[in-house]
Amino acid sequence: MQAGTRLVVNKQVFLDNLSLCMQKMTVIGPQKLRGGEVTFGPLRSLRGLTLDYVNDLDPLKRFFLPQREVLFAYDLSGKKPRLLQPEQERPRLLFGIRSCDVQGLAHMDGFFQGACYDELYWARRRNTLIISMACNRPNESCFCICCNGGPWLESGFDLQLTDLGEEFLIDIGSRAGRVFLEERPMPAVTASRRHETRRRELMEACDAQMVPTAYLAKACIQITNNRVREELWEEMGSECFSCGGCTHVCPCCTCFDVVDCPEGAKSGTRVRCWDSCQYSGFTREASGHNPRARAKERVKRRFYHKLSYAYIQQDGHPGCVGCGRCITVCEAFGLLDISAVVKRLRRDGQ
Amino acid sequence: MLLEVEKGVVLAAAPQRDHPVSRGTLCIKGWNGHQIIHHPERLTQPLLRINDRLKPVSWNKALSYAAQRITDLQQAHGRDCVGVVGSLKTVNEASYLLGKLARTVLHTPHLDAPLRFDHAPSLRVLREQSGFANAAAALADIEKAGAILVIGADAKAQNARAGSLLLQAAKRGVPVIQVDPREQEHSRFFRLHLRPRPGTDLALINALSHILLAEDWQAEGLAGLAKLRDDGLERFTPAYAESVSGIAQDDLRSAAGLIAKASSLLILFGTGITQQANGTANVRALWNLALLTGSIGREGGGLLPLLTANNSQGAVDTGLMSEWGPGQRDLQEAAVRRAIEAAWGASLPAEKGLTLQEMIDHAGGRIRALYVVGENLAWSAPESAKTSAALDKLDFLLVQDLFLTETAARADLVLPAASFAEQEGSYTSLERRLQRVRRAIAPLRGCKPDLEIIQLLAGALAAPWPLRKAEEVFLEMQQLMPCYGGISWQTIGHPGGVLWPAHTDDEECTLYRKLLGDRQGAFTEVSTGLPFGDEPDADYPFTLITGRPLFHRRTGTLVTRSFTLDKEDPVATIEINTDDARALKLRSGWPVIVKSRRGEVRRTVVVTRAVPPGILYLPIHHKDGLSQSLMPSMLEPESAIPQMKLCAAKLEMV
Repeated sequence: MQAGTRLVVNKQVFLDNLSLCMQKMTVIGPQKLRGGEVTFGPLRSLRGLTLDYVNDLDPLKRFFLPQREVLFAYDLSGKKPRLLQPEQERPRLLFGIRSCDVQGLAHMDGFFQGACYDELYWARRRNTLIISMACNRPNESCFCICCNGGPWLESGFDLQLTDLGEEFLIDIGSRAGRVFLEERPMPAVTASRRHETRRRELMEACDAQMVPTAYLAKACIQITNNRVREELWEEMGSECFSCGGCTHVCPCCTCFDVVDCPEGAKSGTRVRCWDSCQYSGFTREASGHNPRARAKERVKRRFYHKLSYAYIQQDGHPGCVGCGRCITVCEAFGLLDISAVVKRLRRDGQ
Repeated sequence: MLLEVEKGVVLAAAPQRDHPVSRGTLCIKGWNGHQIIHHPERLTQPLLRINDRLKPVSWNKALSYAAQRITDLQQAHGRDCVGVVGSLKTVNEASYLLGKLARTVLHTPHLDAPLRFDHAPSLRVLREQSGFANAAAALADIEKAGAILVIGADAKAQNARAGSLLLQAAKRGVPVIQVDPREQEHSRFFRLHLRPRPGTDLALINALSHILLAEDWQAEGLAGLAKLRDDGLERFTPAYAESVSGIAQDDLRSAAGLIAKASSLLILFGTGITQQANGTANVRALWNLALLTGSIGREGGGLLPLLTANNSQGAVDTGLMSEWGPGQRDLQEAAVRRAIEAAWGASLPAEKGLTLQEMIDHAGGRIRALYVVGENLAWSAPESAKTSAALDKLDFLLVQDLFLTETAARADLVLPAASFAEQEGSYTSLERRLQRVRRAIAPLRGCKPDLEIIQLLAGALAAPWPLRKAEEVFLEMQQLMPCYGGISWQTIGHPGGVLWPAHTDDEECTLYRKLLGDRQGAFTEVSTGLPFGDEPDADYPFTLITGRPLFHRRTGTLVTRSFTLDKEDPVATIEINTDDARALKLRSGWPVIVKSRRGEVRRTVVVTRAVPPGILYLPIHHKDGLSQSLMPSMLEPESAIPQMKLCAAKLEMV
């Protein structure tokens, strides 16, 4: 099998093999909660798995950068200080992850490598096989087609599945993905013209369901050229509830805080947890001075970061994958998510 | 809210898209509050004061000691020497059993909830007028309101959901009239911002009603208008209101005009109008105003008090307020007493119980022992120094909490409780939404859920109470609570639960119409108002008002133990008007001592035009914890709420 070749496998056969994997790996997949909402979590059997879902509101970056994690524990009670590292996790398989989250991982990979190389993040990345599911059920707030975040991807996954009903059409994205297919008794055939046609139809149908509201280009230009009125940032800052929800659910946001939690004088843990540039504590300096003390400055900085310097100028793409989660979680509903802000910037510049 | 758990550890909180109220949002406290669950300072074993130090003991020893001390004191001083303070945060089932324990096993009438300090007047007036001690509107009404009056509340800071809906309404063009001396972050989006002198809300509200009547703008078909006008409203002319509140007559007329033109009026209010000498009169005046516009029981209208804690309403419903038993039923009514006594198989104390502040005031006298569940009284009650001294006077202080709060540190015995993530039960939100909370993890080793602790304590006090689960207790309390009738344990487990009452087939927002029935149309008396008892003078020239900022919650017990929330608001500040600051030669960032007639706190100055001249704004802050130490504890006469919203104060350089 060649990377880039599309294959077709019977859906039930594929799922049966997934089920067998659960003995040796932690298989994480979409499952329904009480009330019907879908979230991703470890699966014990295929019974918990659902294939009919809009994406989880909680971003899947949490499986690589948890909201709260213990970096290490220390114990000073003995003769020698002891440093206790977290246990090695079982190999994991992330099944059904949507394209936007896969693209988000590409953003995070960029952040956590090089000077900011993060052992814990990369241990989880290396330990996890990504079998994504091309999106056939976008949410009403999705706009990934505006950000090259889906609904289908060309890379970033180990395997990408397209649900054709009775079969999965599979894009192979990596050697690990190819090995996964080869090692399992799954009769696969090369995709025929019929399969390819069906895939294209599904892609077009998915595209048509998305309302392309987030035309980022003009907003990027305005911000990069500093052509946004201060009054607009002032207004948006007043609207912001500083809940931090937009950054918490953003697949591209990586910021965290590290705190020590002593348990008595001799032991304790060092904990890492998500932080948010929308919190005033994020940029406060030890002296007490805060360069971004007001919500206005924090909102402004977030969009400069997303739409200009950190991403566009460095990496050539915006810091957004179009998952639309910030639209749902924003307390100032419809005013400060990225789609609303680019619209307001565009109108303001006219 | 969903919690993500791995190997018995809560890692994360996540919003719920299919929840009808939050709709996928969480406020900053929702996102970060879970950090307290595994905080190293969590209490994990009972602590008993031995030789003036708190030392760990076993649960068995702790419970038998508590039972022995209480029994001894009751034998020496009578059964009503014990007071019980309920929690606004624990589950309904625990609250119900706490009330039952107090009234039957301990047989004391002295039971109250800290809601006394926030919204006692709101509940009293609403119950008097409608029969129900709860909001006469739901959050969804904010989306349907024709006009909205926000008075004595900062919705954005106090209830992000209400604040969010309010902002959206304002952006849609719904006229929002805000009444608050201080400018808030969202004030700029509201149609009108009236900034009365602190403590003069009564004149302002009544003047709005006066104008509606004078202009014949009231709703049609109302009875009792002549009496309303002649018995009190006539003297609240715009000119009088201007002289009292400082609000220009034209502004009052503009506000009344906006209200008159709207299809309905929704009134959101907070402790800004309840913690005053005129607390009850203010809420009465709001009721009359809402009634004049025909908004009570109408979609998009009514009164919505912004209760402050997750289960404030549940505490009222389950019978933790001094005057009402389970189902908000009046314990002074013979039939109600008979029904409750028959169900509980025990007699109820005959006398009327002391309210919360009264219990503190009588500590060491009539009250010899106090059982406090999940409330940091030392910091939540006014005149903190006096409160701490009162707690020290008790013969036995029993505190049940997650952390060693300032109150727990003074206790003779501390029982370690389980957090929200470790309990089963139900909560009732400020809009009467009854929802289940599920256990995400087992209680931390050594901790027990409130429900279990209360049952074990009853057992130690020789009451034959079997240890029951939350569902069984829910079924029992439902029998005594008509308002929770027709609601099953399963239904409240669905996202969003149920808005009680559930035995009507009305639309959610208009439930109140049926509840009110023929009571609609009853205007309440118009009070002439009392002066607030702590006027500024030459020595204390400023009027000090307090408020709760966005990152704070109650006394900060939980906020300070979430590392993300704790760093949000590190500096305790005092806001002063620019002109006043210039006169006093003060600058932002300078330290200053704020003094009232009761105490002093050290704060950092913030110079701003957000507060009017002559007024100081003191954000309640957890760093010194003593914001309330400045505020007076004298009681508002009708609802026994301390007048802790405003006082006279002065600033001194450090």
